[in-house]
Amino acid sequence: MQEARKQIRSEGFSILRLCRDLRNFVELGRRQRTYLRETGEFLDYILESIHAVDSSVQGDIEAEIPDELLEAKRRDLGEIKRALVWVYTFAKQAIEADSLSIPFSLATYINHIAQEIQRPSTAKIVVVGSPNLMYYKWNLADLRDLSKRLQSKVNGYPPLPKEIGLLMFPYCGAKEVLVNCDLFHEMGHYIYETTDLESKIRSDIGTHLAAFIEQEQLLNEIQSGLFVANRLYNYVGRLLLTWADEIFADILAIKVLGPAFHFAYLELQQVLPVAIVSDTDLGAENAFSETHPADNFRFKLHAKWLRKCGWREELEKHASGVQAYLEKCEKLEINAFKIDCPLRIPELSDQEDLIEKWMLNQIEGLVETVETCVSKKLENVPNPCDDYNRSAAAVMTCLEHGVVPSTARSPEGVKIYPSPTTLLNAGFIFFLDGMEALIKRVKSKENRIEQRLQYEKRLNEWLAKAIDDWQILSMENKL
Amino acid sequence: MSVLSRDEITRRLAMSVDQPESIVITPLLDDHFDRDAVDLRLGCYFRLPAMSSVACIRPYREAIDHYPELIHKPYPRGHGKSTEDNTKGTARSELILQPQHAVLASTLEYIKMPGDVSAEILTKSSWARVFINIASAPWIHPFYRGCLTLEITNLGSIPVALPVGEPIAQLVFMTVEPHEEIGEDVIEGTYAGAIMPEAPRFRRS
Repeated sequence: MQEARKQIRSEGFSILRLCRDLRNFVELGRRQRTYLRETGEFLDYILESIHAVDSSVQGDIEAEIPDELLEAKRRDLGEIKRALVWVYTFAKQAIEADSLSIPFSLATYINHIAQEIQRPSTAKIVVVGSPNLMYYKWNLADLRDLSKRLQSKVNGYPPLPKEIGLLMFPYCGAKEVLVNCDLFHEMGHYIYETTDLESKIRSDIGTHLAAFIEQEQLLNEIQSGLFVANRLYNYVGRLLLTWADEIFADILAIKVLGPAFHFAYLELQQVLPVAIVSDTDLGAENAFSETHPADNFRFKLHAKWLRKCGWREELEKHASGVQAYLEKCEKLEINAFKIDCPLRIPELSDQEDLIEKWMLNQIEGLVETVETCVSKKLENVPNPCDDYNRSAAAVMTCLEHGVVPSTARSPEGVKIYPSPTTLLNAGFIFFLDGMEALIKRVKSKENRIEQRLQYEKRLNEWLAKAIDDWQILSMENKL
Repeated sequence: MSVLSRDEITRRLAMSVDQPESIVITPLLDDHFDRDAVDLRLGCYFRLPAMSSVACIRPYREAIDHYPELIHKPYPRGHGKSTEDNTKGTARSELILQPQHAVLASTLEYIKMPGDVSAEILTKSSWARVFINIASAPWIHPFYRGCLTLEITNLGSIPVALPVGEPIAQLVFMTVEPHEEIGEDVIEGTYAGAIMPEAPRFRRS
């Protein structure tokens, strides 16, 4: 018993040291840097967690723990230590995501729009850098579970606020407003989590799969029918739910933002320069993968919703190559696609083609369910195309003259305050179709390449400033 | 050279940006100007020299690697509301400037100058009375555009808080005379289009 007590004390001191280091790290960052309000709240949560652990462990070190509870206490301390390792990871990412290291104006706007969508609930989206050249939403489920478990073991351990979401962007691109439009898709994943879509889709899959098994007499010859049916349900469910999440996020990004999301996606895939020139093959996939629907299937949906929201003419005018490719994709039938995810159920290996065909047919129904849900979620959010049609020409004139387009003028001299979505769409279209007109006005000794790079950077800065200004004007009730 | 009146500034502000005589000031939070000047606010970005990180600045000789680091102080939420609202959960967004220290800042407003007008940026008189001076290169040339860079120095003997979003400078516009044909709008100047204070780029002509 003496040994066990000694070990608890030693574990306790080790945790206190870790708490001290972690607290110093977070507090130093907070003193020296400025954060998005939502990131600040997340860091507050981390500090509260550390404080609760610190107080609780100090109590444990000093307490006379009864012999019969020693083993349980040792296990608790082990779990607390593992929790701190988790917190350590998140603390580093959040502390490095100060307002100069993230696309600040876009992150504040994304929080604004997420709050509009989630009203009357709230939304708190923390944006942090990722070492990967990709965007994703971090799954906080593990951290939430951990918080719950620790609440019963550590007095005063705070719950992770349920409205917090963590979006990741490639850390080098903090100043690039345009390519960071991919964050709208990640915001879509955050919103998806707050819907009841997952349970509805699960239930639909159960019903439809049972009917399919019955109709095709899929398991009649198999002795372990129930076991195989469960595996098939897990396979189908995992894939369809993953794709539903992606489809939801895509449609939401197109409806909330517009073509700027599609352009940003092409830019991330490094095919935008090709796409803009012609409708040639982009090397996009027709196969659904474990993590995403096929690119061309996603483009089919982008095309449909861009058309429905009224963007088609504008794309034809300024990005005819992109529009032509989208039209091609929109015409693709579901049987043009395939599923590139091995079934790995030996008992059904002969029926793999049949199952794939059935799943592809299910996707059409899945899309319909997702579309209905997105439309319902966004019923109070205006179509960004309406403001675009009013203000985009004035925005592009400002950009051509090297002016931040936060207060533009109509030809009649009336003030226009373009919305951030208009700024992003017009900005992207200007990037694709207007840079030459801007550079023609520049008188400088730099060569053409330096000028182009300099003014691409400027374009992103002007758009970021205009989004900031819109938010300031909104706060000051001047819009 | 004559100073542009409030009416003339307003007239030029209403012009479309593609007209070379047009003025742009954005975001314009207050449309009520003085008779001969426009108030400008303190922006969100600063460059504050950290003594330990700059060995020596040698203009023309080498790139300035350790130029004062950029600092961001976001526009305060709740700015413009009553004092009570303003203090509820809102961190103050300000930069403390120590006596005899200097900081590069910029105006919140982005300005586009017409082709026939120059301007001078001046310290607002209340700030001058707490020994804050905001510009040592106060002249703005025709056709310049960008957030104006302020070289703010605290000439007094006590620290002063510089609040983001508050009026700190005044801009006086003056026509360039005799009047010449302006020609097409052009973008020129080393720091044209800047939205925050930038590190200097020394170039021999």
